[in-house]
Amino acid sequence: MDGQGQQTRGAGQGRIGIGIDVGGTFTDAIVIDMDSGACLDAFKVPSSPEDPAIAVLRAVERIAERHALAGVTVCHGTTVGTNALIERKGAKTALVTTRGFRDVLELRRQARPELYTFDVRISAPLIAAADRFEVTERMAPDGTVVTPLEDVAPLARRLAAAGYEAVAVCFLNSYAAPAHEQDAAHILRAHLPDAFLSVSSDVAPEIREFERTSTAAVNAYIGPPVRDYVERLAAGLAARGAAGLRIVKSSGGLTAPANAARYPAHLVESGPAAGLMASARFGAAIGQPNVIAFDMGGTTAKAGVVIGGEPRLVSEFYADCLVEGRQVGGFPILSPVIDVVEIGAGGGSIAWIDPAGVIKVGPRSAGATPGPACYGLGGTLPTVTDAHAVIGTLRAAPLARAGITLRPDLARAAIESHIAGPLGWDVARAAHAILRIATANMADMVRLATVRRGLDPRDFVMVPSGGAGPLHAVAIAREVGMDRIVVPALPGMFSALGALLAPVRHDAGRSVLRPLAEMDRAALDAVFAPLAEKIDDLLSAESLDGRSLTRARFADVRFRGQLFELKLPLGPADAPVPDASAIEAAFRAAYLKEYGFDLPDAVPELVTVRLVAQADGMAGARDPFHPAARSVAAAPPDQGTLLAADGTQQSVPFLDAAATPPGFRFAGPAVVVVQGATVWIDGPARAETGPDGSLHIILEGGQ
Amino acid sequence: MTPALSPLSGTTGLMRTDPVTFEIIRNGLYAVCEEMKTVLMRTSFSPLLSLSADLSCAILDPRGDVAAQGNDIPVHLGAMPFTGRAVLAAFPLDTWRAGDGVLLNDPYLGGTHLPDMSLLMPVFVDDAVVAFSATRVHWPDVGGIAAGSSSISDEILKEGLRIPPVKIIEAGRLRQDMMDLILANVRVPSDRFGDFRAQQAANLRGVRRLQELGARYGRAALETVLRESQDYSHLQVQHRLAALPDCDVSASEPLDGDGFTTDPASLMIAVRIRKRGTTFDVDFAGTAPAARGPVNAPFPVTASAVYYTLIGLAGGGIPPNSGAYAAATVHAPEGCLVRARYPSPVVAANTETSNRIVDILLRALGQAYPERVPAGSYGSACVYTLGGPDAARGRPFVHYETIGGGMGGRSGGDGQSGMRVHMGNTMNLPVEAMEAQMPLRFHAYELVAESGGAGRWRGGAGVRKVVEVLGAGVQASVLGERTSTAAAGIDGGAPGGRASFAIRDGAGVARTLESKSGPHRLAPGDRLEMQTAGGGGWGRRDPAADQKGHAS
Repeated sequence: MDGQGQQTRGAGQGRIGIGIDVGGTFTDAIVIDMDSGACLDAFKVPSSPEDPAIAVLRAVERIAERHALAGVTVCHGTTVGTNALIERKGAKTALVTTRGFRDVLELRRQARPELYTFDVRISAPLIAAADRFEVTERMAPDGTVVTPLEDVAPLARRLAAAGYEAVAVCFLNSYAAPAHEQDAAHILRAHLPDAFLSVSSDVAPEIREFERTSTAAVNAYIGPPVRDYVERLAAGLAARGAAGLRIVKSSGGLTAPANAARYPAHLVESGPAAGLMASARFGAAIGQPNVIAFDMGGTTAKAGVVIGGEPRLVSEFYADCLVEGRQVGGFPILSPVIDVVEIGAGGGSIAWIDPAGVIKVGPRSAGATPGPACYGLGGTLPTVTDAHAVIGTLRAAPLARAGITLRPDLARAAIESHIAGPLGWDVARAAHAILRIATANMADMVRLATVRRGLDPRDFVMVPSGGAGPLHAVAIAREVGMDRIVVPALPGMFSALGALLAPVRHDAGRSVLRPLAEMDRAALDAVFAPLAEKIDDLLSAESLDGRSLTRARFADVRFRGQLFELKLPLGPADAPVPDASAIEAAFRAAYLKEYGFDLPDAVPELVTVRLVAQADGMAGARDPFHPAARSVAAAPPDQGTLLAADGTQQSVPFLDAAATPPGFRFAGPAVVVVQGATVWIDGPARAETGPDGSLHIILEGGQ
Repeated sequence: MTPALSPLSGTTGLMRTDPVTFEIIRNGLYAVCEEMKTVLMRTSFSPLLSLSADLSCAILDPRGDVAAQGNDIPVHLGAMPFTGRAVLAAFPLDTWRAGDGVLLNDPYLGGTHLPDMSLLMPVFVDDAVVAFSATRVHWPDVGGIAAGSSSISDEILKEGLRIPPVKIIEAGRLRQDMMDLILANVRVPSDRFGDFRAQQAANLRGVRRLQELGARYGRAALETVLRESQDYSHLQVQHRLAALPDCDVSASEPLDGDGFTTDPASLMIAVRIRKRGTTFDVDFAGTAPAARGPVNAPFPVTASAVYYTLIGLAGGGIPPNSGAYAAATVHAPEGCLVRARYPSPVVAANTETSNRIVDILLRALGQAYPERVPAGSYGSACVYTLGGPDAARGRPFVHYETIGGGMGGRSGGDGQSGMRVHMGNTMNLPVEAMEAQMPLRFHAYELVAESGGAGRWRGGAGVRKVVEVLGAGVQASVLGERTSTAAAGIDGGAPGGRASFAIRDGAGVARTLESKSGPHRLAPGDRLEMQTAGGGGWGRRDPAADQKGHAS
């Protein structure tokens, strides 16, 4: 760490942006000149798990040593809410429901996540039965009052006396008829002025009582810790002279602290969303609008999809559904969220042999302690990282900077005693077999993120990030039939960078559930009107800093009777809304494209309308992927050796992308260091370094 | 650490694929099943499919055995090898052309119960059939005496339309005449046709993916893995069985009723299990003759229950398929309640009898391996159906839903409350989605307090669901269990609370229903009140813990 090194206040003094991402081990910070796009600084500080804000503020203080913070906004992806959820360290929370339905949260959808086992595990409800309360009331979906709302004040007094820090309210049919819920919320707020109130028709006005209740419950449960964190961080930044704070939401959009604290459930995928935003912007910068973002760290791997320059979003996801490698159901959250597939496969995943003699990798992980055997920290079980140490693709130098001495001998011993020995193989074959299995698992994950969603991976470019992503990207791309991989500069800082590049964004949606044909223009305008009001309300808390704002309408349409909708863009909100027949025609065309058949007699139904307001982050500025050309003399690559599967030593060039001039071309196989991460080109390929220090790889047979 | 067995030597002598390629293709087969399911759920019309997922997907080898299956409905899947064999008996391998599709639902010719429609399509690689893609999909109605085709009758002909294996798609062309014949015999035919198209799309997706695997790895490798995937699971089950002590155990329990009688002796299911080394023999000798009502199980349903129980006993993580199933042998007297013959009615066996069979098997196994099995569960899927005119929307409606209940406690954990157990896993239908689509209003969906059996590990709680019909002319039927025989505890655990069913009229007067009941004609304002059973407790409750519980 260079401490008070050079106090260079150079070209970047105009307008800077700061992006910060908090990981389990390190907190990453990146500083960009917002006018030139140049990366002025990028570094890591140790995270502070007891209060993540400490490390964030420490990073900001370090930036302040070189850059003035006046007028600077810090953009930040946070896992505070996610961690409170996963570790069950949320607030003391009550749930108020319609009489007869307080157990909806626990009854879930009544299905168990795994079959053929008597050891059934299902996520326990976030709010226990004793904390769930009923009130007499009932609304029909058309807004008819079936049973009037009882006097809620006695219950409100009880909750206040019991010291609840947060209250979630979810009444049946409130997605369409929220009056009772709003009335109850009003009284609860009066009696519990300091409690965090989460009202389902505000947080997620969508049909399906379990999913909406779950969203309101998550929002309430993580509300106080997230609110406190955001407020603490904003105050800390203000004290250090920064102009403001923006938080990355699960949608990849940025929001002001006040809105982040109002809808914490919308932040649960904040970190991964930031990373996917960086992939989207990087793809756009290199002329590749369709990107598969592949991120791999120590314990998990993730695949996300960018289509047409935008991260693919879905409207629902299940938080904390994978525990110790088992599916446990998790907690559904209705909010726009990046569509990322995650599996328990990382550098620390442990290889083992099942009783039938088949090699498996994961889901158990050696984690940070004891870690892979080759880290010499006490681990004895063979991991994916150990396979790399044996083969020679894991380099000692980057590890040494993190204070770890690479011990290939321990990796070899672990693979020998647990895999090679029992199978009667030599270590080289076993190490390569571990990587083939790990690659196959991750290729299945990429297929899940693409093929299962009707996308063809061959239409995409792979952009790897994270500590281990670049090591595996080429092999995975080949496995799924992709032929282009582009490794960005700073692949290990992608989430911090993405926070900085994200737009300010708000989404509002509501269920409609009416046949399209019944909706004339006035009816369509009427369903969008409350969404515009809500967006205006959210935007009133945002400072847009001169960013220009666009608003777009969307409609989710399906055939009546089906469950799954197709999301159709209806154009900008300042233009007239298209009429129903135009929407129907667009829907039928999209359906035919998606599923290969149309159903002429089926009735299209308008399920949900959505309004999205977005103000682009780098509008008018350059992104950081086009810095001025570097002038580096081509240094001849070193020759290194890798252990092949047949046990022979294979001579392979080893390069450092930073030590090659832009446009430098070479052929695979090769091992390349890109700003601290290692890229393994494990077969025939053409490669070229980009002007920004990125690495472009085209597999044999590609264009 | 357990020493590795020599790779698959126990069954095939040789594993011809290298273990890495094997694992990659084998995982690929299971992924194909999951993808088929996604297609089906996305394009089907019945809430029962798109919201409840009452459907299953599998890949069969050319003998009709299951090589891989989705994470779907155990009772559907365990019966799948019988489906494969019945289809191949009707259409031998050399009669298939690419793009063919065979449909069936006859429980006596490869089906499970009439609402389950099974579709098989061949997968051609290099001009040979290497596999079949198979789907089994529950249609909410297939005709018969009551809306929802899940009511009380005394012969299968009254339960709905029976379809033996028929080639409904010939080389990619749908036999529209045959389809019209089917649709003419079911309620809400347009939705059923939408469901059929969804099923067809799922099978086609499976065919395409398997052909891609064949192109990638070669036909020989694919064929080998389709077989070895079964050997692999077989070996895993045997390995776990070998680690258990041998046993001879038996148990018997009566069903609650069949809609005609509640006499225990005529509804008795008896089982004897003999476990020796790696063999697991189950004999249902002593079971009552087939009943008059629809609780009779066709043999594939009974076998499914045994397969499920065996894999659960072996412990989690074993990929289910025919190889795993083949580790059990099942005997039952021809014509008895668990091996019914035409024309016995069978519709309740899939949902009710199959779950009771599992509980009876577990009760027997609990004598030998109490640490490995849960106490009795709610023994049911608890199916209720409502159907009739929907005046407001100007079309008929059919509502078919299952209700969860309590699972038995097990060593190390309380039983789950309000969940589907054992042979089924269909989801509930969101109350809001139903009220937005049908003339129904729900008044309660909640756990039944104190219905889980006490024990060191408590049984899960049952569920109470109350639904009011808003329109006239609605028919209701209920297929439930455990109104009389409670879920048993294990090792001193207490039994769970019992189920109950009633119709309450607008004046508040309730009429108690038997566990299998209907069709009833309801008046507007009538409420169907249903309560499922709780699970049994596991182990005697520790009095010290009791006191602690009272003190705190």
